[in-house]
Amino acid sequence: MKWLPKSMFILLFCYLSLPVIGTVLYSFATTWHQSILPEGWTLQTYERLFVDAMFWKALGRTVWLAGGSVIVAMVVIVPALLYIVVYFPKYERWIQLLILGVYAFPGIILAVGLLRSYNGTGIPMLLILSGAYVISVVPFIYQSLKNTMNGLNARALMDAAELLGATKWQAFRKVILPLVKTGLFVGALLSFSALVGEFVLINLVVGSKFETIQMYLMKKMSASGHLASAIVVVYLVGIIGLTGAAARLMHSQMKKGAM
Amino acid sequence: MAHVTLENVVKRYGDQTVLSPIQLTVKDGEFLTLLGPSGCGKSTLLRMIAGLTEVTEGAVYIGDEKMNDVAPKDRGVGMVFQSYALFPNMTVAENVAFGLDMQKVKKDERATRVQEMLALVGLEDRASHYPNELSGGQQQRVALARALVVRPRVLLLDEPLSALDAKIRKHLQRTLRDIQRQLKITMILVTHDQEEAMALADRIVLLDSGQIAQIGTPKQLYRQPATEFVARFIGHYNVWTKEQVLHHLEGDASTLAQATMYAMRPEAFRLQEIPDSFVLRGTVVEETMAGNIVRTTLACEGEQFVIEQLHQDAHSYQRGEMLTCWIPYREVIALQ
Repeated sequence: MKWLPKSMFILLFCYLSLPVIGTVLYSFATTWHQSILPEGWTLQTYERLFVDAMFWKALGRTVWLAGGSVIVAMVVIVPALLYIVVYFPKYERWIQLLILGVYAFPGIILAVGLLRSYNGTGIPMLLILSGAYVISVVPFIYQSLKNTMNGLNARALMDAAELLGATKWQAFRKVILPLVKTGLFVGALLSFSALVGEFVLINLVVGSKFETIQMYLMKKMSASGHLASAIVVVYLVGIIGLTGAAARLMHSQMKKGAM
Repeated sequence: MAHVTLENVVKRYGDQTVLSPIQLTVKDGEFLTLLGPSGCGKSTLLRMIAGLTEVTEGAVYIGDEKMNDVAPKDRGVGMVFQSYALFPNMTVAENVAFGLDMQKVKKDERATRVQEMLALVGLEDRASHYPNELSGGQQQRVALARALVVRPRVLLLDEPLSALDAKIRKHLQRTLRDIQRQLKITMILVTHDQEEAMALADRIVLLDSGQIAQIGTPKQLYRQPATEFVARFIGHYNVWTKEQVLHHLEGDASTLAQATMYAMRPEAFRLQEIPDSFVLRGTVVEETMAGNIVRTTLACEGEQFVIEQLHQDAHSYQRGEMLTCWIPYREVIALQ
């Protein structure tokens, strides 16, 4: 019966990877109609993509919006989370409940709610959206933070540092931050890739005024399948690179901890 | 170096009173132990001296200075934690240097003082190691060096040896006592282990549900327990009511001080007749070995009591055997 789990695995692997492989091949294909593999190969699609100023602008906007939101989340949310985890552990279950709320909220309701509440208030919708993004990445940050703080008696470390003459801020900066920075970085990377892939909210709340990579992709899909495939490939490579970096960091941190 | 005074210190969390008014003076250079079962408020009291927990009522003085509103970092207090609380991202030397760094001590002086401290705790050769490369006992010695290097006026120790195994615990107890004598520093140790308290302390403060049950030298606490709680916590005392004592002990009852409860140390019982003593008869229920002593449980008309003899003197007794014991009049201690 050894062959059964093996063949199940191969089947699952094919099911998951074929669309990706297909997309990659299609982005390099000239035409691909009635054959198993493309009829001819070309790099022209990528050339067209990379010379398109709109592509770079869309990419820039995406990085700017997602990156900015992640940075704000790091600066505002992280100290608050750390303070709660260290000094008020009994309130942590409320944080966990709130995080569940973030997941449970359907994007469409959130979008309509944001529009109804803030449209006409004079606050740019892009700013409103960014605020929603900051909240939506809290689960990633909280989870990575909790993972790195596992087995760390942060309260005692803070107390010890304070008794040795450090202010709360010094204790936080010199003791706690170096210990959780890898976790925070991983959380930031995960948050960033999640935000880069976000489409529902930005499309509904801000619309085509602020064309992100997802919207650019949407537009190109109807123009050329090859081009759309190429965008997806570029996007995939970027995300894989980011997650790979996060995983490597996590791994090296774990090795250090096990020393 | 300084004395510590607690003036009617109270701690409440909401409606729950954790510490009832505590009045206590720790003398300059004294080794004081706060002893008690878990949940008696001893750690809370220590954290209030450190400034890590707020005082609800009353005042904490270190030296002659009122400390209630002084931040922990400005109190001149060092602390050693049960969990060691070493900074895992720093080497041993960096851990010890942390406090000096905060005080902006010059680099050369910092290095010398770190070296001195590591030598004091016998860890010079571990300076460049990380905490997770050390054993528990070594980690606690680093924590001790880290707390002492800033020359605190008072050193607070919160169950520092509880997580260590017996042999290392005994060794570190000696180290602690030696360092205390050498530096003549005021030390306050929290522990739930009465043997540890006896071995280390100049004076013991025994706490029972947020109140001081008794203050005294180890000898005083052991020889003259004030209450039933003290007698039971400090040793394997036999605690009997007045009725039980009058009923079972044969002798001159007029030698007893007035009380409703009496305590008798198990090792005060003799198996040979001695003058000025009560006589007590019982049948052997059980005999247990505790290393250097043999502990025998006896029953006297349904009432059980325990006697202890040094191993070398002890005979072995059979279950059900009838024994006659003598206890000096003055060893039947009246409790409040």
